[in-house]
Amino acid sequence: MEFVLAIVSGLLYFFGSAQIGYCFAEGFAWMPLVQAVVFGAITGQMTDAIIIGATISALYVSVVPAGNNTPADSCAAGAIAIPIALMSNMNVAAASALAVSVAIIGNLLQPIQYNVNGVYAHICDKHAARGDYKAIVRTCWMSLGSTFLIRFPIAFVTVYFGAGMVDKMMAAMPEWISNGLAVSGGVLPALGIAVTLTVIDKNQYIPLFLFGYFFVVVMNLSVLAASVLGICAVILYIVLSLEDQKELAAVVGVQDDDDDD
Amino acid sequence: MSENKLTKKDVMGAWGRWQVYAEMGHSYERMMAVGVASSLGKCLRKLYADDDEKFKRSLQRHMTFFNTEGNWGGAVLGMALAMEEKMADCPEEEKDEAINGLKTSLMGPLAGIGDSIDWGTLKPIICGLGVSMGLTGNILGAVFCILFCLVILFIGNQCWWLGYSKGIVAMETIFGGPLFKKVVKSASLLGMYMMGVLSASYVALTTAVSIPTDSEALVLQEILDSIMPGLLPVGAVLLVYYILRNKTQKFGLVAVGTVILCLLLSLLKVV
Repeated sequence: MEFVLAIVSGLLYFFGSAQIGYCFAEGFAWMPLVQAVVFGAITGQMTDAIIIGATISALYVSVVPAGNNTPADSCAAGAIAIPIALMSNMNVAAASALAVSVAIIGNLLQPIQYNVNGVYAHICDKHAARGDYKAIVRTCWMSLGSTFLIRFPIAFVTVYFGAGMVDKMMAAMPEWISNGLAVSGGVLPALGIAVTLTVIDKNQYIPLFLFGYFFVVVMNLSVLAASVLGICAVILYIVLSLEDQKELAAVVGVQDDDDDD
Repeated sequence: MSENKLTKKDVMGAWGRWQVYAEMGHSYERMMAVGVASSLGKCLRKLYADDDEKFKRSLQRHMTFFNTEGNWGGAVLGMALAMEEKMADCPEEEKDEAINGLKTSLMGPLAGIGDSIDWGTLKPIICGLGVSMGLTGNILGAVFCILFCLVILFIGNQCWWLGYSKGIVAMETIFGGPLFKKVVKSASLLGMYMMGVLSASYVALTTAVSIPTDSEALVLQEILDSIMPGLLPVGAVLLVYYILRNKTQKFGLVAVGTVILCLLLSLLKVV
């Protein structure tokens, strides 16, 4: 079992890091929730896997790989932490604390991958000068070779040897540490949320954030119900303000621009 | 040259290849250049079928530094293809300048739009709903991630074709137009609201502090709950937001710091 999971972990990490297929790599392989389905199917612990995957995803769901400076490697976090957590029957909180530490691996490996890939760009230059576009495509696929060597082994080794070590550590852990990890599991998703707030970058909209939060906490609405309400309100806002704009344009005679930035 | 015109199938074929190659071979030196040349190569060969020198030059033109968000930024490559087609008979220097100028000037702004809409808003909203289902062990949560992929694929597909067929003038009217501005603004409004909604199910924090008094112990958590339920989780989110915004943007550092802080608070029996 360790061996199979370690192989799958390595392959998932390789696939996500190489980003074969833009949307699918970042939307699937980078989402621990989707990785969890794979690991759940292999181990037969689907429900546990999904819960762990979702908890880790909550951390990273809004981390934007802007300018390709991946701030945190959610692919490594899920691909490595989920199988280890499943094999050693870790609780969800400890799994997400493990995920956070594992994600740092990615931050170390990405510069290596992007530096090595520079070599392929130079090979492609030569192909371009000869007018051989098929060779450029071939070189593009060849770059996967070095990416595999950079990414696969670390995930494989960590999962294959890591699970046993984690087992022993968990058994020897004092109560305050396991409690602290459990608490951090509850708090860490706040980071994912906070990152999205910085991406949206509109301090003046914070009341809307509070509105959404207390809506659910105080009125006990389901997340889906609350989001349907929000989407309706937004559609209404667009429709109404566009109508206003048309009326205004009809009165004033000019198309006035919206000036809110 | 009319027999060398691109068909819609050629143009969208290049988009399909772009979806596969965009980030493959990504390097610091050229960023997405290898992916661009791999995606456009076939179309360029068709455009310059009878002129090897022009074809070589065009491949080299697209081996230059390029970096954007793959879906919205694809519009730039659609436009570049249209320019290669329209300017096929222009002098090479002119093409280099016009096409490289277009790519370098638009890749940044479109990446900004794409990052904030695709990855900064749609992903947290759509996948976020999936995650909140997944937290209860529901496998259907993963379906939301598929939905997210389909949505951004559709956006990428439309942007690419819009870039090719409408060109730079139309793009400016659309992206500068009132409807688009409203949509972008609504996206951040909805994003803010949804982050609040999701915080409620994602974040959990309670305190274990209780103050012994003469009659019965004052449990801090109960006092907080009587003021307003959920004060500590929302406080945690806003604190991290403040730190990420004003102090440091190093996500890994803040994450590890959070774990350490929680361990310390646990040792002090605060949580």
